[in-house]
Amino acid sequence: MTLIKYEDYELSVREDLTHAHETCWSRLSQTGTWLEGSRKVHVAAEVRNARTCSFCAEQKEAISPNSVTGSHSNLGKLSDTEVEIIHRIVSDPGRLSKKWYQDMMSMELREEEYIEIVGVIAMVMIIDTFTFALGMPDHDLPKPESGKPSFYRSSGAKVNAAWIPIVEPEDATSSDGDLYPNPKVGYILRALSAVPKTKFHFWDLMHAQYLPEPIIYQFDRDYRAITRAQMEVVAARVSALHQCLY
Amino acid sequence: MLRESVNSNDGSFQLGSITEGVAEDQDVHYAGLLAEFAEQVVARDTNKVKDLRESIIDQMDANAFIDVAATVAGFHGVVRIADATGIPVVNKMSEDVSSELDVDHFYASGLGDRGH
Repeated sequence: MTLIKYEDYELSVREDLTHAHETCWSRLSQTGTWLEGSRKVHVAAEVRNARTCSFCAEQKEAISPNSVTGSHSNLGKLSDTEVEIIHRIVSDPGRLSKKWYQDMMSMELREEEYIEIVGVIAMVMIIDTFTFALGMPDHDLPKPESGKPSFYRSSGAKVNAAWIPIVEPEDATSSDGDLYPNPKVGYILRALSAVPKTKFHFWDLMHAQYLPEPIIYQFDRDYRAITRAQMEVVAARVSALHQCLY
Repeated sequence: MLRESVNSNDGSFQLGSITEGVAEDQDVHYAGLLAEFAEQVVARDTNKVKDLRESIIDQMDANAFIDVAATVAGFHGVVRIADATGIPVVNKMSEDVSSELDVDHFYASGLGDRGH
């Protein structure tokens, strides 16, 4: 049963976008590379819960998030470390630091789990923000499916340029799948590469939201119902409001 | 991705206005309206988003609104990926964009821990 429905919405939503959302929600319910389906759905629920967390609001208002003491209001399904990761990434991503990341990694959480959690957060935020922008309620979360994670990590993943391990194009292997089909590989495209499925799933969604990968670098082409320049104004404003150069 | 946006309009868009609010006297049609919509979605202001949604549909069209909403939503995910992974921004154009945006005044930039 699909939980993503736009046919009753007053405006027509692109078919490819609807399909990408349906696929994303289906994948959310399934066992991932390092996380079981139930854990992914718990992450999604906590993403939504973070919106109303009073401690997050206090941290956001403070000159430094570390100057505020307290705890996040949470749904009780995940560890304190996972809750902290989710709430900070949802509520105050522009002030995350390498030290914060290292603190999280010292709390019995694997890098690969962190990467998959980040991917789930980002995808859920995309779909929830889209429905909010349309004036729709959140879609119901999917029912998790059972299964055993594959625990795959790319053998080429290394900690070097980023806080997390990433796969540089020259280190990608055939078992990773086609990690980099385009010769232009900005760091944003490498960010989730240590867990290739998470990378693929995020960009399957993002290419429907924004532009298909081959089109991204064709600056003289308007592919959507708004111009490329209008898309970039919107994208840049969202990034700037989050203090993010990307 | 933001650095790529410089290429999208021959660099004629005033990037500084991205951090301060976008005025309508730009080369990009409806830039102010679109930026205001993005701001209110980030702020999750339901009433303002509703008014701006209607303005975009009236002034542009429904298909344009869907693509605006999709772009706004997509970059809510991109910024999380970028900020949570500590990926670097390391080329000449990025430095130029960073300078024009004056991001050095942002709190996070002072942490000096962005992976490089």
